Amino acid sequence: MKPEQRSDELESLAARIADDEPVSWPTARGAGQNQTLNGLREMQQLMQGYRHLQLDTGRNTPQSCRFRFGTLTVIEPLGSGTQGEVWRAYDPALDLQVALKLRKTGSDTLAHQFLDEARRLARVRHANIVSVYGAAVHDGRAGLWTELVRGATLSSLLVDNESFAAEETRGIGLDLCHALAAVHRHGLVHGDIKAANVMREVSGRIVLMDFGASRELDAPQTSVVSGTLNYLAPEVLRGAVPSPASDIYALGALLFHLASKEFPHTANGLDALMRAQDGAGRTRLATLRPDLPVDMARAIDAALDPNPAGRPPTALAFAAALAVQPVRAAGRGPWALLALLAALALAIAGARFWPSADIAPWQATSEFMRVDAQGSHALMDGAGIALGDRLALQFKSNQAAFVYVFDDDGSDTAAVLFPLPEVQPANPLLANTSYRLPGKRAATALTWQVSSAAEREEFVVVAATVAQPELERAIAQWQRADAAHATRSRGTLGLAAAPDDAQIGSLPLREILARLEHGGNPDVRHWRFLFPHAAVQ
Amino acid sequence: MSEGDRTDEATAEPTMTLIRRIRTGDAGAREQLVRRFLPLLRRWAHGRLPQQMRDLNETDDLVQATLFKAMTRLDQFESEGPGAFLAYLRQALLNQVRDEIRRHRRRPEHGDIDVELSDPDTPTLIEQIVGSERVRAYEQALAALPKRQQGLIVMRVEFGMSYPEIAAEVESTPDAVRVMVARAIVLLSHALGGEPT
Repeated sequence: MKPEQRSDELESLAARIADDEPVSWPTARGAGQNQTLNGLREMQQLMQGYRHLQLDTGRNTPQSCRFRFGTLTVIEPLGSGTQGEVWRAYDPALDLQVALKLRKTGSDTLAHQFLDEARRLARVRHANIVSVYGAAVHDGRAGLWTELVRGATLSSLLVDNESFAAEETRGIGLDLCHALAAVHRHGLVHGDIKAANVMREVSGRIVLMDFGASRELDAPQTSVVSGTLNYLAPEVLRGAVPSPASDIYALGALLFHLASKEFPHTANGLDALMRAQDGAGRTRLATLRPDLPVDMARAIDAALDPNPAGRPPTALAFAAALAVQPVRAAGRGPWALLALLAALALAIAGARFWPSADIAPWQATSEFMRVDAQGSHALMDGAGIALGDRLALQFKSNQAAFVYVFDDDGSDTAAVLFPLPEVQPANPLLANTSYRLPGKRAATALTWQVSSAAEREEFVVVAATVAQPELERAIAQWQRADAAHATRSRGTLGLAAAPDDAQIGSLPLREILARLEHGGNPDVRHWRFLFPHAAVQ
Repeated sequence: MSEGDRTDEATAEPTMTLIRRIRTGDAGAREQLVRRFLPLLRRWAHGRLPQQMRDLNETDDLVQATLFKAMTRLDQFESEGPGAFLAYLRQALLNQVRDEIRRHRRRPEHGDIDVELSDPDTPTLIEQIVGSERVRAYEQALAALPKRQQGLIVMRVEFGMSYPEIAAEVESTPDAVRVMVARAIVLLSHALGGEPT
């Protein structure tokens, strides 16, 4: 391509961005063009952000009020489903536009069932799950309102574009695996994972929506098949109760669909679909998309195993299978190789960074911060925290360090707070650099939000000067589905200081640490923080 | 501002003409300029203020103070060309917002502040939507552009002005403005794409 052509192409892309129109990104790139294209992608995000602000401020005015729902000013319809209709509304108390889902008049769903969705959703707080703000009944109509996610559903993105690139599919898969893990660990099943129920926000954040089909894991069995046909696991089609395994199947079907624009099985109607699933087999994803990394295609195909026992046992196990698999050196785990690469990089950067006994002894500091509108404030061990608090960890070490942060909720397994996929920084953390964890996804700084009304939060921070393959393996394998029950059953209310003899609640974590630190291993250390909830409503 | 207002705006006198009239003591022109920019700036400021400062009166005070202060410095805009006035207003307002954020922020109780922690922990709406680092990188790249290109991008991207509105502002045609805006965005994107992400 000639330089003038490239220039025209870039200007044409820029004009489409300026006009807020869909953009088809070119695939062939030269070095200079690549830089400009990256910048144009950034500009597209900014443009969409500003456009939403202009829409917001333009529509918050009283004359755009269609009707009121309690204190909410309802502005315009956004969409409609079988159970309810969704409106853009303004919540004056929060000074925010929200998505208000109103139960349809004449809907089969009872008002209390409709509100159950809000209650279930309110239990799960996760960056990749839509946040619920409130629920109420006004003038006989039940409604629930959530954050207004600004972006597009994956289904609409598929209509307007080609199938997703490998890395995009992987990123979406990892985000949704973590969202599902949060859902399952709160004792819930989503029940309707599909492209139309997942949104990509303008910032790139992936958000799982619509918990209308969700249910308690231990709810009584019903014979009604619910969910969307192409995403239904074979056992659910035959009347089994939806389970975490059927959510994993649906997520597999979604990723298959994103990568190929096709479904694992396509048939017209329930019976035909069952026959198709019983058939001689289906097309493998690797056949439809030979460019996909083999491990990734295999992981998605495994999630679609007709036998639930053949699927990844948990959403986190699915995430581990989807995650990047570095080339393995013979006899070594992937982290050993990463550690080697990091060590090489550090050696090149200068001998003063090399973790060696010849230099100053290893020193590392670890301190939790509460992040609020006024700034960041250090949290002393034992300080009270509250539901909704945003926390971060300040970490600094004079040697490169592998850091692992866990929310130890007293169950058999501990929730992994760091490292996280798609989040920077990743291990190892560089020496003499102050980090605020969990870090950033794309350009967005992240925090951990206190999301359950547990009596206290307990965190374990492990730091090591070399990678800890045993811990890494445990992180990938832990099942977290039953952790929520333990969270709500222990401890006492109030501002009691952490008991001196308290030990790490998670047995596997405690045992691994005992092994790692055996004999006063100078390469590993851990901190434990206990923060009681200051008040519970 | 309603759509009707904006259509009228496109056929109204260019800002440069109004500025010249104000300098001759024309009170009507002054009022017209305020009427033109106050709603635009108010709307813009809403997205640039942290949540605890988004009180309507406070926003209005800030915007009005900035606009009236700019009226005392009209000389320099005539020399910088069409579109410069709005870019100046935006920058002045941004500076005011930053001052206000600093005033509202409480210092951390204790502990050292590293570079990362010195980021304002009071995200504005636009930072909440697209991320504060992206906004910061954009601001830096924008500041490095010639004033004319800055004005074009600000008018189109941030203020959401239509091409006829911008054309009236820079005394050109809508088609020509569309091309100029696209070129300015390419220029900005080249700088933006070179930033570490």
